[in-house]
Amino acid sequence: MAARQDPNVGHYVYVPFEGREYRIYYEENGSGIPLVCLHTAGTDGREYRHQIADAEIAKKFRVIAFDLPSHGKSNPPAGWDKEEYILTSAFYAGFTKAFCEALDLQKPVVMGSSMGGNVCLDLAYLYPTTFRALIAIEGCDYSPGWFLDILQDPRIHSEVCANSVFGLMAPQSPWDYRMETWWYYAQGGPGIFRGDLYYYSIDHDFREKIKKIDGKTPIYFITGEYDFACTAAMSEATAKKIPNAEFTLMEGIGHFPMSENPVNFKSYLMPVLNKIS
Amino acid sequence: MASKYDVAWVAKWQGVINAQAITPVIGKKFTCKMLVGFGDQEFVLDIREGRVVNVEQGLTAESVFDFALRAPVSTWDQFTQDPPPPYFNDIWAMRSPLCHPTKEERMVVEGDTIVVWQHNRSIDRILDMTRKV
Repeated sequence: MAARQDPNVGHYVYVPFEGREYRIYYEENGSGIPLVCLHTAGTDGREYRHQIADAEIAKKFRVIAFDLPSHGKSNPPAGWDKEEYILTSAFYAGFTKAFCEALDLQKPVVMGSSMGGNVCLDLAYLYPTTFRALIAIEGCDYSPGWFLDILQDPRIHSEVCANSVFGLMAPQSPWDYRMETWWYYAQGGPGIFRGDLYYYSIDHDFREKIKKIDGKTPIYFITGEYDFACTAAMSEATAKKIPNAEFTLMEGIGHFPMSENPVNFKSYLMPVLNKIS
Repeated sequence: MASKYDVAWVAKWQGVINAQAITPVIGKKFTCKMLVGFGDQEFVLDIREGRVVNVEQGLTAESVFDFALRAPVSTWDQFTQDPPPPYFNDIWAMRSPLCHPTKEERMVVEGDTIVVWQHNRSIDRILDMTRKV
């Protein structure tokens, strides 16, 4: 008898961007409105495995989660070993759009978490007519304090990246799912989490630019109450500054809702997806 | 005002820690001297290969420790609840100025913080065990 399988299917696509070609891994399932999922700093699209496999979401959405260059199954570009990895707003927003164009996606929804939530502001500001909607999970206009050299220190085992974020998850989230999220972080490439956090805490600062977001693209902010990197108050305050944005608090959940507690997360995600579809 | 975090409580906590392996592998490498400050009550836990071999109450001129985790009693009371409320569930949450704008409830992590980061997982596990005391 054949064993059961998840419906998630993986591909590689070559994305041209800024004079380079990036071999990018992505997984998908479903059909309908493209729903492009952005992983958090330092990890990869595995965080969205539950949402990709979800039959109810797959009825109306083509759920796609890709790994940024140097994350997961997307290798770093040639010459990476001679550079310090640093993620910038310009690269992150531009590459996300380039990925959507590489798959010829028409008016996709982008759903991002943490740094993926923050970049929703860049996408709304830079490309106001490109996206159908933006879902900013654990996102806000400014999230300081996380660009830490300790995350790439030869004196410390690389599981420091995983340990540094474990407490961001709610104690109510199932232990096995929390350890699965921990596992993803423990597998990040050297220096990648730190480099992503340059974007998250240094380059990402929308406190002034936020006034220029015109509201053409609806933005849904949803944040877990245990998140102490981007608190619920920070997300709510950000949403209030943007036309056509709304905020939802997720109770009993933390910074990685899609992977730490997919059942609880779905109860908050579905109303948003139903509004969009 | 007396708190529950007295010599007897810490002895029970030591018993809970020593009754189990912290983690299968790296917990055995957990060797350090860790000061835990519950308000004015301070205890130095002498940890060797994942076991608390001695507890020193209070500091003397000869006290040695690698790092200290100090917080008000009220903060530890929140942490030791099961489950702990938001922003009181993790040392990095408890020391975050974003979550605790005033010093009155904020945790202080001081000393050789490299040791804290090296043994973060083990430290988290033994602190979680305070909920079993």
